[in-house]
This record gives sequence, structure tokens and C-alpha cells, in this order.
Amino acid sequence: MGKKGYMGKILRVDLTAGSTEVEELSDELARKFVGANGLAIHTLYRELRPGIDPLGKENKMVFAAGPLVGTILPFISRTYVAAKSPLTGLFADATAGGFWAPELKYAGYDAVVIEGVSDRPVYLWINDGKAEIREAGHIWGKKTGEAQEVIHREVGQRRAQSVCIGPAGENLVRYAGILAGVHAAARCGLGAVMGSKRLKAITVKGSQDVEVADMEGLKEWLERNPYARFPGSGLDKGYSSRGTVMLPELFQNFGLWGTDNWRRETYDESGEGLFHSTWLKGEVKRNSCFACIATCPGVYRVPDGPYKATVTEGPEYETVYALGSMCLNPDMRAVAKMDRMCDDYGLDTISTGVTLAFAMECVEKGIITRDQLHGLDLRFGNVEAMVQTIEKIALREGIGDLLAEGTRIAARKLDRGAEYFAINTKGLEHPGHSTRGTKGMGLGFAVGTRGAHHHDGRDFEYAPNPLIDYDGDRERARGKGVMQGIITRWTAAADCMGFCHFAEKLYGNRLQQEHVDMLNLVTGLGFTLDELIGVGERVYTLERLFQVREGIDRSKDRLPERFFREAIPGGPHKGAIMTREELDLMLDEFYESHGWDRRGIPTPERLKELGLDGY
Amino acid sequence: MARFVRSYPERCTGCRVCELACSMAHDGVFNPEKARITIHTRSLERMERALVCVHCDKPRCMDACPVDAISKDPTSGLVSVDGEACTGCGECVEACPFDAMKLHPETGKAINCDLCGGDPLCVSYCRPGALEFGGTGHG
Repeated sequence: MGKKGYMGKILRVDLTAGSTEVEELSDELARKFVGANGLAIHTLYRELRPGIDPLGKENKMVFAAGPLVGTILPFISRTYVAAKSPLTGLFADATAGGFWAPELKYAGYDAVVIEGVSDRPVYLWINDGKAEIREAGHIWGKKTGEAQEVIHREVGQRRAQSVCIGPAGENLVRYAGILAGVHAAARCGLGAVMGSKRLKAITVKGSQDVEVADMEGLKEWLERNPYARFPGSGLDKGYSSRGTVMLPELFQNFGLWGTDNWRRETYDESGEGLFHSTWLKGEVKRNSCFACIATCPGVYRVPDGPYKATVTEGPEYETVYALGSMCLNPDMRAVAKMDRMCDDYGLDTISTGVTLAFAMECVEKGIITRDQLHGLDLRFGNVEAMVQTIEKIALREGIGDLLAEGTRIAARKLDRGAEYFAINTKGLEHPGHSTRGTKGMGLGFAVGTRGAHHHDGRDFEYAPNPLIDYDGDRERARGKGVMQGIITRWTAAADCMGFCHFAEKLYGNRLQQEHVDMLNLVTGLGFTLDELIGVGERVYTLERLFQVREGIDRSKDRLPERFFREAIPGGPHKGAIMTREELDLMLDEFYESHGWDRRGIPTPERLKELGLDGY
Repeated sequence: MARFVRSYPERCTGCRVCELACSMAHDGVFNPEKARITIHTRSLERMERALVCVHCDKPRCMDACPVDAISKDPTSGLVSVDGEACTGCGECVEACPFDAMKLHPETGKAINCDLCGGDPLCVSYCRPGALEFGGTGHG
């Protein structure tokens, strides 16, 4: 195909046979699915039979970079990963910031598809188009940072980039993540899929051009748009410049901050220990992802106390929520220590923290017994026990072996009512956004492709937003289904192109002409806005079709019981609760906005309209 | 005495936009390996600095070049490579104490910062202000 934006090549690796081959990326596929997310769901829908074991040899993984990645356009560098998830049993994807995806393109590929299982630990080395499967016995068991450094020395390229798993992925922890440098594609346990294939890392380096269709147009665009608009856009003052660690204080003030395993949504007594002002005492510097003008990532060095001198990039808001307020741990220094541990072992911080909070409540209720804990005093706020448990989870030792299964499976194994304390939807632990106080986000969790994730539907309910027809009433359900319909078309299309969702600060959370302009300047494919909206719709619907094939329908688009039975006990949203009627209303709206039937299943007519008949 | 692109590592966020702006200006493509400025990252937590030609008063690259392809303009102080004469032997790359000289991945010829003819694009695109065009006299 015409090589603008795209590298035009997909690398297919069969780990069972130890072979690699190169496929062309067709114009037709690019037009229909754009890239990354679209390419992944197209490939996995067609090639994964329903019911396969996510940790078995039949599962496949797609690593990809969208067509806008590798250019100078800011907010567009996401490393995209997809496979069938061992945590949800469904199609799942996760993305990371950083530098891997652009380097994949400079190495000559838009995507890598991994098949089969290696009989010994290996890593994949892609150097300027050439791919080589290499022995990884000597780095198996190593933490992610050290493993990457060893590999980069070994290939003799200090500017190589890797996606890599740690011991958690090797030990098939169901919420093991994949680290790209220190950035994590964390959610849904895709690290365990890599581990099941005995694939330690994919390392890339190259010197090939990413060409664009209209360079002069792109230069004009840059002067008019992101660079000119950045100052005064709020980006220069908000969390995109100072880090999402600004959010705990904001959410505390809103009364929408998941605390104490969601028994509360305020952390009045000690939340201040997790505020930005506390974090600043250890700030070293601010970082950016590739080509970005925002500086969300910050480096933090623990200034004092038992974890003194621990250095981590982050912690981000979700980590502060999961390992902080959820577990009643008010110490930023301890959160940073555990953030670093999760990065090193290759764990999703959200699922790790929510699973710890689940375990603590089970201990409190006597569902997890002293015999199971082997002396661990796993109660809310006990930081030392949390640190020890994280290591046990990664290594699957003692109680860690049970907790490594995630809250859904662990609750089933524990039985005795444990399920009530397991805050997950479709098996994925909830991130730090309110279900009861922001009803649209609640719906987003219930219907999200990945389960409870804040990157299918998004949380936009803090202030009125005319772009998505939202008037600012957080607790109201009506209209939120339509709103999340608009948002999911945008997130799906954005994931195809390679966008970071924080680009919403500049371009909004609804697909607009600006998104189309960027895509056309780079690829020259001449998309219209309607076509791009159609891509978002097509990709989101095909993801749904995958889930439907695995048994998902309206009856599975549910939420944890706690949010139906317990109201928020205090704070500005005191009394807010989710009702079944509200969820039903929003489900109807949402399904209708996507052209699915009342059971949440895409209709044959809709599939035909989207060019998905025959899928 | 030449002006040059001065870098301030404490302000650098490691975004590598300078590399992209450079390859965009010189080659009309995006390719960091063709850039005449390079961000060196020291660790995964990212302590970085920009490697870029400072147009030394006594350029070691010039002394090292076996075919006299590198010269220093007596008026502007600019150190430049004659692409016709350069054989791509890499002696200059070895000789440069600032790691600022490299071989173009396609042509194989040595490349260094040419200040974009007086208005370096990397500087205008560096949002954190970690690059400045100024400073005279070095090495």
C-alpha cells in the first residue's frame, strides 16, 4: 500500500514453530479499521475460536501502533496491546504511553501478531525490519527494569525500546501487566498471556522513515493547533502538565473518591497524605511521552521514612486510589514504594490495590482466616502487610496464590459471601471513578468491552459539557446512555489512530473534524467525519460481537451489588445510589445509540450497515 | 565564535520533539535516526540531555576527518560537513566529545546541526524551553 503514516507491514510470529513472516497491510483494511484497535479486533475476531483458554496455545496477541504514531503530532504515541483476557475471559486491550510504539514503526512495522507457545523462555528482537527469536532463559525471573536493561545491552542499542513482563506475568497472575519502559499497558492481565507464551519481551529499534501525505499541511496545522492552543487550554495548569496525582484532592472535594473498598467516597480523616501537595515533596522532574507537549508523568523520589530513596515515575491517580484510599493507606511514600514494586514485578496497580482491599474486607468479615494468612496481618491501613502481599501475589506464594486470581475468581473460591466485597465488573476490578455519584461512568463500567474500565466509556460528569450534550447533573441517569454512546465511538476511533485519551483536553471527547484532519494530513486517505465515526462504531460493535460470542448480553452488563445496596454514606454526594431501573434505562439508551437490540446484541441490519456482515 | 543550540537538561522532559522537528526540517520525514540532535536517556526513570553540535572553536571532528570534508566557517563559526567529499568513514563520530556527530542512515554521510540556516526548528518546537539558540564560544 501507499506508505504514508503506515509502514504497510505486519509481522506475524509463530512461537510454537519459532518462525516469523511478514504480511502486507492492505489499503482496504486500513480504510475499514484504520489501525491498532481496529486491526486487533479484526484479527482476533476472525482468528480466535470462541471458548479458547486465554492462557492456552490458541490465544493470540496483537501489539500495534496507529497510523499517526511516530509523527510529531502530540498526544499520539500509545503502545497498543490486545488478546483474549485471562481476567475477563473476553477480548481485551490495554495501552501504554512512552516510546515503544513509535520505535516499532521506525523498525518497519505497524503491528506484531504473536501466535503459539514457545517451549522455552524467549524474547523477540526486531531490528530495522529483521525479526529474530532469541533465548531468554537468563532473564526469565528478572524484574522488568533489569530485564530491559540486560536486553538493550545484549542487542547493543541503547535507544532500543521494549515491552516486557516481570515475574507476575511469568507466574500467570491474572492481572499482570506489560511494561514499556516504565509505562504500563496494565489492565486485563495481558502480561499473563505473554507469560503463558514464554515471551519475556519484544524489543524494537529502527531507522526507517514515517512519511506523511501532506507535510506542508501538517506544519501549518501544528502552528495553528496543539502548539498554539496549549497555553490557556487548561492543559498547562491541569493534570496533563502536573500529573494525575492532582486528582485525589479534586475527587475528595467532589466526594467521588473510592475509599475503604467503596464503602465510602471520601477520605476525610487522612486523604491529605495522598494529595498533590504531599507528592511535590518528592518531585524530581517532569517527563513527557514521545512527541508530547504535556508532562503528565513525573518522577518521584521518596523523601524520608522506611522507603526513603525509592524512585518511581508516578504514582498516577489510579494507583493512589487503589493502593491508597481504597486500602486506607494515607502515606504517599508507601504508595510510591508499591507503585514501583508493581512496575518491577509487572502488575496492574488498579487490580492489585482493589484485590488487596477485597482481601482486607474478607479478613475483617472472617471470610479469609488466620490459617490462610500465615501470620500476615492483612487489615486496612497496614502498609507493611500490603508490601509483603504484593510480593506474594507476584510470586504466587501463600495467600498471594489465591489473590493472583483477581477478585472474581478469588471470591468464588472463598465463597461464604465473598463475592459482595469483590469490586469488579466482568472480572475487571474498578478504577477510581464513581459508579453511584456519576451515573454515566457507572453505565460505562457495566457495558465496557473490558469490564470496569474508564477508557471505553469515560468520566466526564464533573462539569457541564455541551459537546456531549451534558448539563452537569452527575447523579441523573437519563441521557447518560446516549452520552456514553458518543464517547465510545470516539475512544474506539482514537485507539485505532494511536491517541492518548488525554488529547480530549485539546480536541474534545467526541469525534470532530480536527481528528479527521490529522488522520488525512498523515495518511492522505481522505476520510470524512462520518466515515471516521463509522470506524469507531464498527470497531466498538465488533468488540461487542466478540464478547457476545463468549456469552455476554444484557444480563451480564451488571455492576457490583454494593453499588445497588449501599448509598454513598457522606460527603457532597451523600445518599447517591445506583438503582436497577436507572441502569436499565441507560442500557436501553446505550444499546439503541449503537443500533443493538434490547438484549445488547448488534442486529444483523446494523452489522450490514457497518460492513460487518459475514463476521 | 559560533552561536549554537544550548540545552538545559533540567528542563528537558524527554519528549524527543526536537529530533522529530529536525528530521522534518532536513529530510521531510519523521525519523529520529536522521536527526542532528539526539536525546540521551540515562535510565528508565529518564534523566536526559540533548546531544547537539556546539560548533567548537577547535573542532576535533575536523582534525579527525581524513578527507578534509569538515570545515569551520571563519565568519560564522559554523562547523559543516561537505556531503560530496565525506566518505562516511565515521572518524568524526568517534572524535566528537559531545556525541553530536552521526552518520545519516540512508546516505551514510556524516551529519551535524546546521542551525537550520539561522532559525533552528528544534528550538521553536521545544515547548519546555530546554533548548535555546544563543551562547557563543565553546570547546
